[in-house]
Amino acid sequence: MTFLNFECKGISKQFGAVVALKDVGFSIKEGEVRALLGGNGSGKSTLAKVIAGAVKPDSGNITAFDAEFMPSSPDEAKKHHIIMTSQELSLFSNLSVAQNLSFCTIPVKGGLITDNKKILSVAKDILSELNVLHLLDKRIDELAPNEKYMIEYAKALVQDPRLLIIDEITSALYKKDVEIIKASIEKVKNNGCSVIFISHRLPEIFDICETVTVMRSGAVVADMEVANASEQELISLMTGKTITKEDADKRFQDAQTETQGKTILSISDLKLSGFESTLGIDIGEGEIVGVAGLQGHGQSTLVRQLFGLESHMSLTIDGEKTTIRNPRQAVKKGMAFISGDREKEGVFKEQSISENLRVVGDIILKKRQKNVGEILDRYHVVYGNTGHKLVSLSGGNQQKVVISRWTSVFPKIVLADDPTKGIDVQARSEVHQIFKELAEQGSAVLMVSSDDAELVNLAKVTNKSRVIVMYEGKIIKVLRGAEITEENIGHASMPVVRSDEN
Amino acid sequence: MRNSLMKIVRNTAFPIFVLLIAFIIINGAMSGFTSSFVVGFFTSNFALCCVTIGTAVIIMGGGIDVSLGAMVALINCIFTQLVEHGWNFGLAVVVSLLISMACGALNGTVVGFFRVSPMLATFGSLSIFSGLALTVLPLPGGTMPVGFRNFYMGTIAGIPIALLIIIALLLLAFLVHRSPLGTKIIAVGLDAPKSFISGVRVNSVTFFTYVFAGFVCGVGAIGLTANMGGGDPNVGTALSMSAIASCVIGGVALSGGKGNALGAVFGSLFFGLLINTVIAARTPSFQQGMIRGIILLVGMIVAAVLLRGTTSTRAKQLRNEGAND
Repeated sequence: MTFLNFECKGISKQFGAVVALKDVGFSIKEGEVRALLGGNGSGKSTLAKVIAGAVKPDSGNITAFDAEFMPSSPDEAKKHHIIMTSQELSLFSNLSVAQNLSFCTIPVKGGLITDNKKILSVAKDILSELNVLHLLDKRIDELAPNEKYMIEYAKALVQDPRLLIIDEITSALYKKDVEIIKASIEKVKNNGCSVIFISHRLPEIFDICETVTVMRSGAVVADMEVANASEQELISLMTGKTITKEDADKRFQDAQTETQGKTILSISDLKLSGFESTLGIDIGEGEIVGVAGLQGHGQSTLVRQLFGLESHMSLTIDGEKTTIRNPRQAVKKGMAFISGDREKEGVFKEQSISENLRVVGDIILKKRQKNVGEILDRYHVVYGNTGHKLVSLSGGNQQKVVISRWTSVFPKIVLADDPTKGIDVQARSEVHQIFKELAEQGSAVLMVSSDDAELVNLAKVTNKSRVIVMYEGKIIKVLRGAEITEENIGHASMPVVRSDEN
Repeated sequence: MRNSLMKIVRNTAFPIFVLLIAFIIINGAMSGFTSSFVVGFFTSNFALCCVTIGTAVIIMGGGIDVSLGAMVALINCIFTQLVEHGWNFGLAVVVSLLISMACGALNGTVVGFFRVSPMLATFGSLSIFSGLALTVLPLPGGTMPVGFRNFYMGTIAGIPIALLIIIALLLLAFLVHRSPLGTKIIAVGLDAPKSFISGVRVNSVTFFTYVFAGFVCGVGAIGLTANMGGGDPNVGTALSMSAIASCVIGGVALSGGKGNALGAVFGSLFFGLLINTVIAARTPSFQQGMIRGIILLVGMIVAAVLLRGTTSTRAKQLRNEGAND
């Protein structure tokens, strides 16, 4: 078999007024694991899509297997075993997990009929290799976000990749999942497969990759060995600003001093659906509460239930007892809900950017937002025109629009379910800053995150913050101030050592 | 055992199956089933069943087709004229089927490759097909060989030939469903961009669904010709909407990606029985339409409630976009 020798030269791509890629060069060797790093809208996802045949570049060429190669469709790229996992997920909820895994290469028997036995055995093999065999009999819409991304990764592996592009699947994964992915990458690499690894989590890049390509505003700004790079250096390259560790710390310190504000949200004896025990919590004015815990211990159920997504909900807002029957009432009571699953619960893809931003104000609160452009600029959203469809934005920018939609109506209570999933380090800290501003204006913020490090950073934004750790539907630990460290959260998440997980 | 039972209950065709059984019992109680009634029922509902199978495959693939009724009329007229002009009978059948597939291919090309909205594309071809039908056969007429009519209205081992052909077409649809192509059809129906990313040639899959529909409509048109003993350029006008309604009540989601042809055929048989029941109840003819509508709405509500019973939370229900998703 010929060597991969993959190289792109002079790739450019423009979407409307937005320049996504300008004269990008990129290469990867056989068996190399290369990180592709960049902020939202830096063009890394577009580049990945060009390589995988999903987007046609305006100019530029690609050589692979010692020949000119320009995939005109994902179908053609797949024939050359260039496989990409999709940040938006390419799973079909009307097919079983096993059918999804074999979707791109459906085995047949007798030349005609789908070979279901083969599909099942392929699925069993790959799922047990990734240590998630228990997902086999589930329906796609029953899967938790991290499980979906594991299936998405498995779907790519089934296609026997020679160039595997992993587009930000780890942003939704928990630590143990990332370990599994890491081991799996190691294995395919040893079989001669090259891997392009796109992630916002810098530690993962140091852990998994050998080389790194950094992109900013559609251009490649650096190309280096991971071993020669430092975290600060990479962030500076990504953002184009020199950020030293002292700067970062100083920004955290100018947070206001702690005052005992009045309670905004109070719940007691709340039984989360799917759990036996109850919990209660009071959140005060200007407080930011991070919610941590192992996957599936009720963190997202808590915020979803508060927003009226599960069933009727009795709670006290501003000292007044109310019942929330549905999300509409929740919004009218001043609640905001930011979902990490932007495909399903965040964006209106085909609607314009400005409609996406104004939707809550226009439709439910009957308050018209006028300064759309101003809000977008404040949150550093990279866009062409507010009238463009939302899909014209990169994933991270779409999520920023979703967040600004809520924050621009100044909610009293912000409920966030892993809101920064799949957005870059800089945008993440911007989101934290937005939450901080809201808190300073007197809102209460309750935010779930699957990334413990993020909660630690969030807690540094203001002094009035704490992290609650959940286990089996109840709060088992509350951490404040200096106690909020990744180690403490990790320890508290696992109160008993269980020999068998699930 | 319990598992396979759940599988049947969860099938999108289950609610309409229950409704259909209920209506068969009601009908049996009111008028009883004679052999000639059963044969007559299937021969007169044959065309609708065929169009419904075609419509179901198109809708599952994310499209819609309002031109199939007009297509049936066109093929009905062409077939009548071919037989009138003394063509070999078998050749007339084959040519008619080829023309109906070509009609489907026209729709498939416009929708699949030119990406015109399927509603508009097929609305356009509807006018073309009915115009052509009027050109081919301006007035109802023609005669069919007696042997052909007798064969169509006959039975094998007590089972009506028309029903056997419907079953054969259903088996064909099932074969497609169980092939990789079938998986791709429902994937495209659910989410075309995702399918494209996964390497599916979306255009070709869409094209296929329309050609398939063309074929089954051709079969339906030939059966209709036998039933009427001739051609009529205005015969199929109501078929398209009835077929779409049959699909929806049979558990095929209008948004695409969910359902199966079997449920859709149950739906069309249900419609046939519904009309029968209303007539058998000696309802004044002015009110028949209204009563049919009322029964239909109640039936839909029952189907919706039956399906909802299997989903748990409210947010999920909303996501499922209505009853038949």
